[in-house]
Amino acid sequence: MSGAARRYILHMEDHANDVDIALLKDDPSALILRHQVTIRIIVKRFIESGMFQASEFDDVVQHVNARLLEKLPRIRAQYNGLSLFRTYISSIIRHECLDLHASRESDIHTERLLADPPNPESANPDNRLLIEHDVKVFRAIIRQFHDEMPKLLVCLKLVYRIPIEPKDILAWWPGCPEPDRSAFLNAISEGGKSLPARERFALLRPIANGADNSHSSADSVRHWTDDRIHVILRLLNGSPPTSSHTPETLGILLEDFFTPFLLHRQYIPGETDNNDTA
Amino acid sequence: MKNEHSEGFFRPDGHLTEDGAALYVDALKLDRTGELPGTVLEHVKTCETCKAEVTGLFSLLADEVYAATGPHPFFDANPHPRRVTPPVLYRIAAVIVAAIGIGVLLYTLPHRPEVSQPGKSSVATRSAPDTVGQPTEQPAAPTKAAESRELMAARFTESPELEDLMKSSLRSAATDVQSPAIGARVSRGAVFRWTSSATPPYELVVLDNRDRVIRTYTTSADTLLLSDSMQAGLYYWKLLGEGNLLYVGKILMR
Repeated sequence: MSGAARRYILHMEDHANDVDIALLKDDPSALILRHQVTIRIIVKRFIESGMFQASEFDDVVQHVNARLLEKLPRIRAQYNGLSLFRTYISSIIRHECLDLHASRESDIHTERLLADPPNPESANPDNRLLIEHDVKVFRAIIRQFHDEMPKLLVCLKLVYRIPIEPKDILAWWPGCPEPDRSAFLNAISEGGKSLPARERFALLRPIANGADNSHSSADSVRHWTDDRIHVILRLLNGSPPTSSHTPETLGILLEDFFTPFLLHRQYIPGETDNNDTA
Repeated sequence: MKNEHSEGFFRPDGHLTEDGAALYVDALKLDRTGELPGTVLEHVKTCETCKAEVTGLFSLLADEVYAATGPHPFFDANPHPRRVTPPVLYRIAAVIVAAIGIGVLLYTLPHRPEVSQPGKSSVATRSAPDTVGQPTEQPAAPTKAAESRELMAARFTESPELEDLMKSSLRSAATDVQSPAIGARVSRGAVFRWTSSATPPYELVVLDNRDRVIRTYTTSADTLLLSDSMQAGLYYWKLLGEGNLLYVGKILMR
């Protein structure tokens, strides 16, 4: 490492990303050394997910190191400096692990994991950590729906029979007339929750059409919701699958989203960015 | 929502680049999704492929704390020149310090004529008795220094057995080591690189000069990054594959 780079690092201890960028320019090998912890954390996660065996840990870490060394010129050329380097290199490490897994076709471990799904209600501390991790991932998935999020949350509440509040409707349709809002909320609270999904979505139809300025059928909104439930489940389970979430476990995560009991964080309708320190 | 700077976030096939996915994960980690470029937000909203990419990466980093990363290169970027880079600040600081130093020197020179006397070096001036308050270097006890030198020297003494083994292993044509060269001075971060006709996995064993195993690595690649620190000294390393000794080399650890 050059003296200039070392001096630069000493003065930039609190600016980890600037240090990364300086090393990428001046001493890429030192940069890879600096990210050994990141590599180890990611490989460990892949082992926890069953994609590699614990005994392969060092081998996989060294494989990633070797690939990163090979790729350094490309990384220097392609990294555009707009994201944190730590996140960027994590993406590369992840792809290296996925590629290695694909080349080995070690599906046996995945099958074993799928045969033994995590129990969200278990008091086991390890499982507890897994649940907390899944809660964070679920929240991250929901936020990727961006401006569809308020609609999605109302529809998910309807599917999972979670009480819908006026603010949920207003987050989706800020201009929703009070009579329409009250009519729907009254209907859904007075026995509406016991209705089949199709009829519950029929109650929602006027709100959905008003909010989206459309003339959709109740079935169309229900199918839209079902489609997103499947997307969320696929995202939660990963590709290749490393979890075994079902519509039931999704319901638990959703309940926690509105009334946190797994992690501390309150969803506030209308807010896209909450103080969820991930 | 930022609408500028979005061109670097999409691949030709329309999906997010690694930078784009990384930026989205940064936003999720830092609770700043609202500041993502509109094009990125809109694309991810409807693209399951990119959602999977973002979610997969986020999942790996979900439990990591993003503290002390400094200003974010995108979210905290100033539309004007981003920031004065530290090296520039250092140069400015250096000029100021130099100017002060010259000023002090010019001020003190007339009062210290002995400095300019011929035959008196600056070193002599620095160690003169009038430098009260300056820390003076105390010579270490000769015995301790000698012991230390001996210990250090012992760590660099060659091992006759391993030297012989190294010379004999070099006759092997099946394995070609590109780095490190025999006797190369290396440090943490050194890269071992080889090609071999032996089938992986390989085992790389690092020994000290007394033939004691210090580290053992297993790898399927033909490259290995020395990620551990080791005491300065002479070390030998063995490469094994298919249960056979493929190569023996030596390195000087700084």
